[in-house]
Amino acid sequence: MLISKRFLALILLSGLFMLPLSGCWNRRELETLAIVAGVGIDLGEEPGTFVVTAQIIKPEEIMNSSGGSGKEQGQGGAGNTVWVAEGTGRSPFEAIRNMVSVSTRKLYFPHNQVIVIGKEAAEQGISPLLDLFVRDPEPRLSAFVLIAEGEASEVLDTAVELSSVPALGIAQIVEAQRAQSVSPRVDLLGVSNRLLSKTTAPIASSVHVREVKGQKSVHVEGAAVFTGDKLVGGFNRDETRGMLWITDEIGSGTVQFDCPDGSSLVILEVIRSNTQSRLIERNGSATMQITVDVTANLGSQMCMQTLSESEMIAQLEKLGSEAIASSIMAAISKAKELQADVFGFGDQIHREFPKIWRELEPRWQQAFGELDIEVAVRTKVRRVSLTTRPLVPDK
Amino acid sequence: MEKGRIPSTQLASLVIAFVLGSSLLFPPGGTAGHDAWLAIMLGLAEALVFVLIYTHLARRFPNHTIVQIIDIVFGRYLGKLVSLFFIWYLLHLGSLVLGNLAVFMTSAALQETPIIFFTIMVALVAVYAVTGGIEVISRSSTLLVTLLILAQGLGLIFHVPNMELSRLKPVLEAPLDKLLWAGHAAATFPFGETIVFAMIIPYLNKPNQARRSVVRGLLIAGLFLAILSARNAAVLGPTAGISLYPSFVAETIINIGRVLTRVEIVAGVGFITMAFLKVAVLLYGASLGVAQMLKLPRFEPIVVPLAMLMIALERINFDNVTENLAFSRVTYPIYALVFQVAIPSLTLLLSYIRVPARR
Repeated sequence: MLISKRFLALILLSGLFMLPLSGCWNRRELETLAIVAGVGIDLGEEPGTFVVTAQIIKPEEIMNSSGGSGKEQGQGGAGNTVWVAEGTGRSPFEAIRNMVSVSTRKLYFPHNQVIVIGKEAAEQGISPLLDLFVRDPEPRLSAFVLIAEGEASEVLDTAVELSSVPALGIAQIVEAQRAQSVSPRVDLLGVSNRLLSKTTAPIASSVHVREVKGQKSVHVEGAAVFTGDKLVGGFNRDETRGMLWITDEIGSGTVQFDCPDGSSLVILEVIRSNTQSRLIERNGSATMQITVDVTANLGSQMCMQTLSESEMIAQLEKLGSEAIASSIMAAISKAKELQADVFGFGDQIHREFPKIWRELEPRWQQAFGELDIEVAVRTKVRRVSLTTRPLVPDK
Repeated sequence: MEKGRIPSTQLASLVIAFVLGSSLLFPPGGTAGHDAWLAIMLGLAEALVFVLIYTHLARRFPNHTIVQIIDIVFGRYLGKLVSLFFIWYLLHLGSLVLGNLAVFMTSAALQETPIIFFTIMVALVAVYAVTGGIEVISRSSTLLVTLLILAQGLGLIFHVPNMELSRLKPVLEAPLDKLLWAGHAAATFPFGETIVFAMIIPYLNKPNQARRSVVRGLLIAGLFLAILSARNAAVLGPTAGISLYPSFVAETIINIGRVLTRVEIVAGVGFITMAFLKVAVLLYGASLGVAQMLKLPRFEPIVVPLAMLMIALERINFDNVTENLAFSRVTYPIYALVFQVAIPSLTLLLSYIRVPARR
């Protein structure tokens, strides 16, 4: 009798536990979610309004397209595997919520990979736009932040080849930048940290849409540069590369310059790079010393000289170092011109020389412009790949 | 009243779970910026003094909980009043922990779910554990703490690629007064809160090892918190400073080859288990305290009413989360001193004057 009572109680109890286990208020079924892969923010037509573009994945279409004849291209649009929805409001949050007018499902942000901000919106300041994405628990800090040279909606409305979801394709392009290092890899956490820094200027990848033979494509190259939270300019490919050398974020890339005989180009392929930047005090003024150690291979040569000789290699190393140093100098002078400490020198001095920093901080804007920066590049060409001579008959 | 006896190693793990309880959610020392780990170490040192007071008290009165000791020292009537204050603290602290957990759940994951749902669920489990007695709570703590430290340790390894240790520099950037205050705040939350173990020490199988176990647990937990705090600053940078739950946000950054991502839920579950253990210990201490104060034959019947009181208290504690933050930064470091230092040291002092030692 006792056992059966206990048994009965157990049954009742497990019945009770079934109630909470089935989920409750925040239940979300997969088919009720609109999974956002990328989001764009532009200024609206009316002053003070924003247009938010959300690229929403259509899972059924992806299943169809991968099994069948491949992706069907819409008329230059993002393809039929995604739906590009648009909402307008006086804040990005309101704009997103206003999409209920067109969306059958609630937008779901945890899988969002890219945040694209239009140029005009970025010029007005990105802090108010990004607050939502840092504050809300749904979006993730690992999303990449890109600045469109035109409208963000145009970027999200363009198909990316080899990628059934364009926004994921853009994220992959940003990741793949390591191979050429002409665009920074900036996620929301990185932007957030730079926005919170007193001196370091925020940067973001630059993206634009190019039309070739009626076919639109997304290009990620260069960097957008901010002071405070406002877009003030951009770095071209070379300047961006220079900046990445300084901040030690070079993955790989080609460094090319004229052959020693001046006839045509030599291309070095960067294998490894390591940058040390140190502040030294020299008779009262601070000098930033940047030392870059590069290991490269002879990737290709277009001139007809035989380069696989010790003296030649030494010369290639010297020319390579010069080419790298000139990118770095280009980045420095552009940064000084924009008055944007994109390298984080201010924060670095703050960390390593708190005493000097106390004196520098109030006039950092000016001090950065006057900061002496010494650049030393050491290039080592280790290998010549598989051939020893160019494709010409032996002399 | 309590027949169970726990080995001293389990006491150490119980102390670890208790200390980590809600400090995993709200890392202590946060007001010191990236020097928070230093503040935690300072707080740990300060709290060790608190521990000496109540473990000394426990040595002077072996086999007595602090409520019983108060009864002896202050006398029948005044003692009840002091005990009531002490029990109030345990209940209030329990309600704060319930609140922390519930607010975390509604901020980070289930935004629309009513808070009371979480507090009731956690309190239910805690009631179940407490009615099982101290052995049940301490054994589950051993298991859960092992799992938590394993998961967090693994997380720490996964974090290595994201860490920039230079973000911890310059060390000692926070002004000294700010750092000391942050350290003191860390002493009262979470380390000094171990005063509740003055209710549990008599149930050790070797009570003379109590001090060593509590201190060991405190040191492990403190070191763990300091490492986590340094990790948060190194992984998140300045963003850690604006995060309400930096330890949780840091877990969202883990990305091992785009395969191992979104592991924060593992950490979240760990936070919940630790908070549950903290609530259970506090509920146990409060129930046992009330039973001993009123000389009841058993403490089990009052567990449920006290848990309901705890849930109700949670409802009226704060109107919003910023009120909670202000309370824990400004009010609590002073408020807690009454219960963590004043009551035990007053008891100890009076015991020398009024009661001959019982050895």
